[in-house]
Amino acid sequence: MASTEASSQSLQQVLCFALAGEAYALPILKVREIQAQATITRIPKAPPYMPGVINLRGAIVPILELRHRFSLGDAPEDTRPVIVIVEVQGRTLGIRVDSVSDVLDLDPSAIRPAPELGTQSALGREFIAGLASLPGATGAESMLILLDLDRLLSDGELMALESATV
Amino acid sequence: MSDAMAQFRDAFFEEATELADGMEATLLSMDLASVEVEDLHTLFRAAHSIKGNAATFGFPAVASFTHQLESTLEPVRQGTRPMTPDLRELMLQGVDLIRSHLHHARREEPLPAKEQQLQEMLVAKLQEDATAAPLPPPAPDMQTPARSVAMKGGRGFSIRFEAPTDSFRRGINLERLFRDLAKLGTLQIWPDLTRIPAFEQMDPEDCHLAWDIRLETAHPQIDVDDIFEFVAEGDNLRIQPLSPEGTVPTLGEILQTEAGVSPADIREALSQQKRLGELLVDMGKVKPEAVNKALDQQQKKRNQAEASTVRVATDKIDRLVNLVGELVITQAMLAQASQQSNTMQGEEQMSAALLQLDRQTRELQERVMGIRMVPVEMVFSRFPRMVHELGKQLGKDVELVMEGQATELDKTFIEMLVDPLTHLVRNAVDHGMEDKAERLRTGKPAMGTIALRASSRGGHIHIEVKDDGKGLNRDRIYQKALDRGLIQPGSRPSDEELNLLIFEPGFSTVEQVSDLSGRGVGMDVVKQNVRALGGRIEVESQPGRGTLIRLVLPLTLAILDGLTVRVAEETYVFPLASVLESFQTRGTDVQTVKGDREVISLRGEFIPVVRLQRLLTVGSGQETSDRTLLVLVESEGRRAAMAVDELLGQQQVVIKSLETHYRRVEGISGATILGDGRVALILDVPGLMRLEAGAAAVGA
Repeated sequence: MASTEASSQSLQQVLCFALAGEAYALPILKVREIQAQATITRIPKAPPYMPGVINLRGAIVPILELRHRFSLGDAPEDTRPVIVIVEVQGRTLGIRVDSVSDVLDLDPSAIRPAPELGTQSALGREFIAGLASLPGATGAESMLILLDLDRLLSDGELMALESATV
Repeated sequence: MSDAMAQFRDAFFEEATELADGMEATLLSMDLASVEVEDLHTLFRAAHSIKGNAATFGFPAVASFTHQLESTLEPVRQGTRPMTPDLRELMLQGVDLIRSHLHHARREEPLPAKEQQLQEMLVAKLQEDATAAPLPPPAPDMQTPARSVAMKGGRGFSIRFEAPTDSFRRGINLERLFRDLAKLGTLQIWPDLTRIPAFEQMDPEDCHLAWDIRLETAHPQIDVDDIFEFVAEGDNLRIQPLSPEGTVPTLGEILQTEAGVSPADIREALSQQKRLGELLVDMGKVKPEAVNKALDQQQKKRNQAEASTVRVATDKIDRLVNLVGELVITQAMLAQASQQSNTMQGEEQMSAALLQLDRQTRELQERVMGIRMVPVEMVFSRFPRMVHELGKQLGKDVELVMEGQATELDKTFIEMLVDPLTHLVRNAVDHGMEDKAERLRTGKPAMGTIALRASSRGGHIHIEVKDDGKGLNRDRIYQKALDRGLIQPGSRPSDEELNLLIFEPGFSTVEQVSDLSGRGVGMDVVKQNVRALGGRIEVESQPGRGTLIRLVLPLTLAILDGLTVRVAEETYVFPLASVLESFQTRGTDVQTVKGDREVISLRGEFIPVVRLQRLLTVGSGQETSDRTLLVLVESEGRRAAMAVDELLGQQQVVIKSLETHYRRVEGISGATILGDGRVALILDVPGLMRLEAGAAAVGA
């Protein structure tokens, strides 16, 4: 756990998850719950990164396939994806990730802005709220990518959601 | 205002509107040749209740106008004045005015000038007639025990009185008015001399005086009304209660009492104030269109706020309460059974309780849905008046027969049915019905009949509008459809298809566009609304015998009878209402035209085949078997055969919205949750046909 001595108000709690071997995090306040794999019903003509909907206790909730969104390819056969249910701009949405690991308290001062990334990176800088380095168990530092959920979704599919009344 | 007060006010508006509706119904059903005394009593009571309640809740304008109606009714009730057709029309107009009074009072706005004028004219007419039979003062009334409450006064009144111009000639003793007022309480008077014309134009026998009066009294308004009884004409008298004790008085009121500023000056100052929107436009901060849009929005919000209540019969609620009581008992049973679930007895108890729970949940669901159901009478009730008016306007004798008013419909349906039914009834009277001379010539009774029927049939609600008029002119419809390019030259649509063409946008075969109908706008609305409700329209028409238009609606919006099918590995639901039949065919029965369009010949008719796998882009898109399972669907008179992989069954599904968290998807009308917890999409048949047509157009 990082900087437990800092006052709790200034700490930001994040949910960490893994995607293609990298560690990502979301602000915990946006996360409603975590679901084990559910059957996804495909929506005709939906983009591959938003393939369908699931039944979340009676509500029909769309799923965002983060691997596709970031062009990370299909998950290996042995992964058992989990769905993180988040609330963004009044809508409920499930985000499919490889696995969920931890809830961390981050000191905002430890969050660094993302450096300019090359064009070869599918994960554009605009989706990244910042990077945080975590002291690993062996002393080596590992990096955590903090996602900006609002921008991630407003940039892509949510825009389509808003305007789609054709 | 406190919440409780606001709630009472809402109740007042609802009750007053109902009373007004009641007055209208009574007036219309009245047999003028022999008027039932009980009817008159009913009218009188309704007017009296509206007046009393309006006064209590601080709507003096409503109260004083209703008082006028009531006074007109009094001699009729006493038998000294006959109820003539003219008087009935006046009273009906009066009822309309009460409604618009209520409408505006609810929004806390003054009555618009146009209605003010109408009211003046109406009151003048009522009194004109009344002068023939002198008008006794409103009789003290014992029928409403609410009177003591209703008539309780507030802090006093602010009165604006303009003396009638002929006061001197009529010998009205104006001084006495003030003496009488002074007897009621403390009086402050500001004369208003601004109405006096220039000296050259003045007729010394005319009275141009006006006063602003502030009367502090505990007496009810009716006492003040009585004083002005013989001088009040139209709007020359305005009585407003002073703001009640405890509330903060307006600046104007304080200035009146403390600084002696006259109310006329205050009014003038206020009239120079502009509305917020105008000010902003003047300042160049917003465009006028933006203000108009905002005002529209505000209006919509208000309408929504008004429409959001449902009146539920008490017995429905009682049954719900009972049911919930039973549920609690079942829950206790289950809790107990689960504690001893390892014993034989516990297991038995458990299964019994579960069975009970099953029954109760089902019943609870039905009953809760039932709360949304309201009798169709809510829509029907407006038609007697409408038909009456239409008949009068068009010079046709029309009788309206209504059946099945107690049939219950979802509240949303009721609201969305108002416009379509209005158009249908209006069309039936205006176009369907011949005029009197023609009816007699063709050997029909001069009195035409319009029938409105509602009935519940096997999961559907049928609403029929039937007239005994001349029927649809199918030759003309055919010609018109050709002209408009709705049908191909040389094609031979069936009678049924021709009938349905009248619901196409801009379709009207009437040469003469009348004031009421014939613009071809209304029928389009009918189609749209009915389709939005998941229903369909059927038309039967016989030349010379009349036309029957039937709206077939599902019972409720929330539950749908569906046919579940499998397409590749996905499950979809067809609304059963649009499924005609399903059948299996050999691959060779499906023929290809124009390269890739597939059709199948069914009983001599060529029907396009839609491959759902391809259209919905699921599965491999390759049909392996040489046998094809087809579901024949119909929408808006068009048919298509949808190729599916398996028929899974027929079941009722609960409709869930896709749009709440996702968005609208073309070809999909919603989603539902299957027994195993999976989501299945509900197919939108007209949408699929559009999709297919679009795909074909792109492919061609």
